[in-house]
Parts: sequence; structure tokens; C-alpha cells
Amino acid sequence: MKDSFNPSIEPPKKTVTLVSSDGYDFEVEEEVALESQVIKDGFEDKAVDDREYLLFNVHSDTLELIIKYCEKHVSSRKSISAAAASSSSSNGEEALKEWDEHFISVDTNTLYDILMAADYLNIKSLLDLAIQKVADTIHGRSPEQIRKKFNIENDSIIDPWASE
Amino acid sequence: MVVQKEKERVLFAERTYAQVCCNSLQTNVDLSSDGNRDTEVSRDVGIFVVLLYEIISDIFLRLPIEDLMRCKSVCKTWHILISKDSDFINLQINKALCQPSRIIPFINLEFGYRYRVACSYNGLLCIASDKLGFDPIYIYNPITGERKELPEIDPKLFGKYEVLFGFGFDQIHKKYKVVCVYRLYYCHCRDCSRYITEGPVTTGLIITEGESSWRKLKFPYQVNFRSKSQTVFLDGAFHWLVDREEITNGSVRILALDISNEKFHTINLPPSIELPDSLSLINFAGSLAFVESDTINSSSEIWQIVSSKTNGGRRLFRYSCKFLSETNGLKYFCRVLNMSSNGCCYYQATECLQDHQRRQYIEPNDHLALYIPEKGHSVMQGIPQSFHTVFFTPTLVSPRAIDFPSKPPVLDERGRRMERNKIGSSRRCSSSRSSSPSPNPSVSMEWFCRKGEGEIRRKGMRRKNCQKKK
Repeated sequence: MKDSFNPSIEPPKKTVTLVSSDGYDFEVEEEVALESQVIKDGFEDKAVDDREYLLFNVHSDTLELIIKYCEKHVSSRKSISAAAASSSSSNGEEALKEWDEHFISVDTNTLYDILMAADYLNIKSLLDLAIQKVADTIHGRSPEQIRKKFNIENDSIIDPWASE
Repeated sequence: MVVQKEKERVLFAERTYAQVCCNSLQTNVDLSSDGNRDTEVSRDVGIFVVLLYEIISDIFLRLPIEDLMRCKSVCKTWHILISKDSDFINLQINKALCQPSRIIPFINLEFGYRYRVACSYNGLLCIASDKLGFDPIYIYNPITGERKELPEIDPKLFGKYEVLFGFGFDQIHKKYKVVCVYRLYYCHCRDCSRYITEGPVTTGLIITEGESSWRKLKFPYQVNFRSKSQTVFLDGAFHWLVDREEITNGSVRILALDISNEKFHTINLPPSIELPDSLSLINFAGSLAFVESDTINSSSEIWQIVSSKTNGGRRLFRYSCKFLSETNGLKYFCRVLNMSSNGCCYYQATECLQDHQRRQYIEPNDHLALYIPEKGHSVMQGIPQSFHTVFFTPTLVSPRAIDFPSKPPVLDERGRRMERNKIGSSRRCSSSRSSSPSPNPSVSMEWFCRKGEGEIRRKGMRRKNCQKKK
């Protein structure tokens, strides 16, 4: 609480280093990294000075996106709670939803990577967002359209929807 | 908006059937031939096929049943998950039960015109024909198109009776049960020698999953079979409307049969509540309700019995549903079906035929309509001309997983067994299907039928005579 009186002498924020599968280092703030349940669990178990996480399953391109998502969510959560504390009306949640929608509007391969990374890192809100996106993509489409969209090979002998 | 939302709840039977045919065809070709290869998934068939089980089932659980049926034919991996994985199917039931039930205008494409939906539970329909005892009874999933035949009922019991079916799930023993209630039919034609003078006796047959024959149930009260009566399965019990003319205690209105212990109890109303004579019992928004039936009035009253969760008391809520008024000289015969999730009322309006139409055997048109209080009516479009409406929860449960032996047990006495086999083979050519012998041969259906006959003879001597003539 001291920080709020004198922000200029705020101590440097604690950071965590995340290493992607292709060997890139990403230095992120601790609270951003803690969005991942896996890192959070590991954080509690580990010694304090060990601040490097090797993420074998996450490529640097995906990790960049994931960090972007976590940063946005941490910052907007702060602004929402600040707005609530000062009882000023804010549309922070709606803005965040819009941002999420825009964030997840990616091509199929990226969506797949985000999905797998969110599952691996156990980031619940992101996993939920990605799953809903896939469900929305499937909704109302014919099997042929779904196959095309997700690059699935037709291994069925008879395709009942071929005529559609 | 309201109407659009409600329209999404209507499942079009025809479309389901089209899918069903194709999908079952696919199953036969694909899965029977090389079942082992299906489990191997190569990386290059498409990334979304190889998603983790939890992720892919989570995706599928967010989709309505129509999408699931389409996904089934995308690839083999998805097909297996949607149609064969029992964990996924159970998760889907739980999900579906949280949502408002769907409506299916049921047309008898697959079963023939004699069949009607007797009742539904867990996405399964119990389907029976008007000619009971001659046509088999089925448990049917209209989504997957799978069906299972129930053990036969002796045809001698039927033909002259009115019949009601009930179908439910015993949560304690985890078994499905089917109950069949019937009684003598009043024959009013003068020259019919089978005129029955004495009062009818309500009798029942019940069968539990795993049993191979029907057991007899003794009913303590007479059940109302008139005015589109039905069995309502709710809160682990079957419910029937008690026939008013038969009872001495005027307050007894509903007869209930607990599905687990098979014991009867009654639901009584205080005598101060006056209800019209012509009533039927329905499931109205998850509660029992009396509905005014047999009416060409412009509205119908609904009395909903709401049980209190805390003290076990009951309250009666009264609703009123207005019907479509006469248009272009057409009158409608309307029947309340259910309440929608947003407080509107579904009803089925059947056109009343003119005399000359009746002579030409024209089928009256049915309409599915929604009464929106303060706003008026909305008639659903694109629904077949003539249908039965069924409210149900679409699931992927396979009726084939229900353990009803497909053939009656082999009896000890040789004579009887031979007779049975003869009946079986002449009635259905498909009865050659192999079936395991019943694990419970001590309960014999023949015996129950004979006992039933005995009781009926005592009640109506004339019936006995006419059987002798035969």
C-alpha cells in the first residue's frame, strides 16, 4: 500500500523468465506469469530464487500471444477493480470481452496452438475462450465445411453430406 | 425474438431421419470392417482430430445435438467419440438435462402409421402401435435412429383394451422400466356379441431392464383412459389420472407408482377445489398439471401442482391458455402441451373437419402454436401436416445399451414353448435373431397372462363365451 503514496520509488517488479520450446527467453512480470495455474503451482513449490521456466511444448510465436493475453487480463482486471472501488461506472468488462473476441480471431493453426498451450499452461479463461471459438466455428457448418476449415482428411467411406 | 428462440427448440423429425439413415449406413460400412484401425490417429489427417480428449469433448458439449450429428460424419475419430464413447454420452445427458426440453413433431416415417409415441425419457422414446400385442414395442432414440424391441406382450390381452404406456429410469437401481396399463374397452355396438356390461378393471404390466417378461401389477384405483390421457413420469414415479366415475373417495385425483419399489400412492386434492370433469394430466414445466381437455373453447385452464421442496406441501397454480380463434371458417381443436422456458404456452391446434371432408377421409392438419400472453399467437411454420408432439431432451443414449432380452424366455413345458415359437415366427420374420437365454426364467409371462384372463372372466362372463366360440 506504500506504493500508492509514492510511486516513483516503487521497487522493481519481480519478473519471471519463460523459455519457449525453440529457445527464446521471455521476461514477464510475476503476476502475469501467475495467470497460468501450472506456473502458479510450480512457483509455490520452488525455491524463491529459481525464476526460469522451460516450456517445452510452447513455441515462441504462441508464447508471445499468450503473454499478450495474460498482460491484458491482468491490467484490465486492475482497472475494473479500481473503477469498482471508486464506484465510477465503467464498461471495462465489455471492452475486455471485445478485446478477447478480437484476440481469438486467428487462423486455424494459431487457434490450435493457443488451445494446446492454454491447456498445457492451464490458463482457464483462455482455454475457455479458445474452446468456445472452435465450437462457434463448428456450429451450423456441414461436415465438408468443417473438414475444410480444420484441415481434416475425410476418412469415411461414405459421405452423407456430399450432396449438400 | 421470443418466437425465433422458441423455434430453435423445434427439432424437425424429417431432417433427423435423413441423417439417421446415412449415419447408420456409415456405421455398418466403416466400423464393422476395420474396427482396430480407427483408434490409430495419424498426425497428418488434420490437427483438430488429435486434440486432447478433454478439449474435444468440451468443444462437443457446447454444441447443440444437430451439430453433433453433423460432426459425427466428419471423421472416424469424431464418429467414435460421439456415438460410442459412454463417458461422453453421459456428459452430454447431464448437459442436455440442464437445458429446456426440445419439441419434436413426430411423424411415423420409419415405424408406419400405426405407431405412436407412448412416452419419452432421457432422449429415448417408447413407441407402441395401436395394435398392441401384434406389433412390437420399441425403445427408440430419434437422434441416432437406433431402436430396441421390448419383450412381447401376449396378443390375447389386447385388441379390446385401451392402453397407456409409461417409461422411466429407476435412479436407485440404475435401470429403465416400462409400464403398460390397460383395461377393458366398452363396446357400444348392439350386434357385437362381446358387449361388456360390468365395470372395467385397470390392470398393469411392468418390465425392468434385464427381465425377459412382463410382470403383472395390481392397480388400487381405476385409471382414466379418456380424453388423451397419458402417463406422466416425474420425480421417480409414474402418474395417472384417477377415473372420477369409479371412485368413492372424491378427493383422490392422481395415482402414482414409485419406480423403485413399485408401490402405489395417491395425490389427493382438498374437496374444496372444484375442477371440471373432463381433465387430462400433463407434465407442465416440470410439474404435474391438470388440463381441461376435450374442448373447442377459445381457451383452456391449467392447474399446476407445485410441490414445495422444503416442507413437502403442495400448491395449486392456475394458468389460462388462449387458443387461436376461428379463421376463414376453420375451427380448431386445441390441446395444451407444455409451458415454454419464458412463460409462454405451447399447444397443438388440429383443424376441425367439415362433414364432407370427414367422408373423404382427409387427415386434419395439425399446427404447433405458441400462446404468448399479452402478445397473441405464433404458429410454427415448416412443420409436417400431421404429427404427434413430443417434448424430450435430445441425447445420444443408445437404446441397444438397454438390456431387454429380445425374445421371451424358453419355458419348461414343451407344449407351451412350441406354441410360443410358432406365434413368434409367424408374426415377425426378424425373430430369428439370436438371443441369450433369460437369466431369470422363473418369471413366466404365460403364467401372468393366464392369471389375467382368469380375473377378466370373473368380471365379464360374456367374454369367456366369445372366446370359447373361437
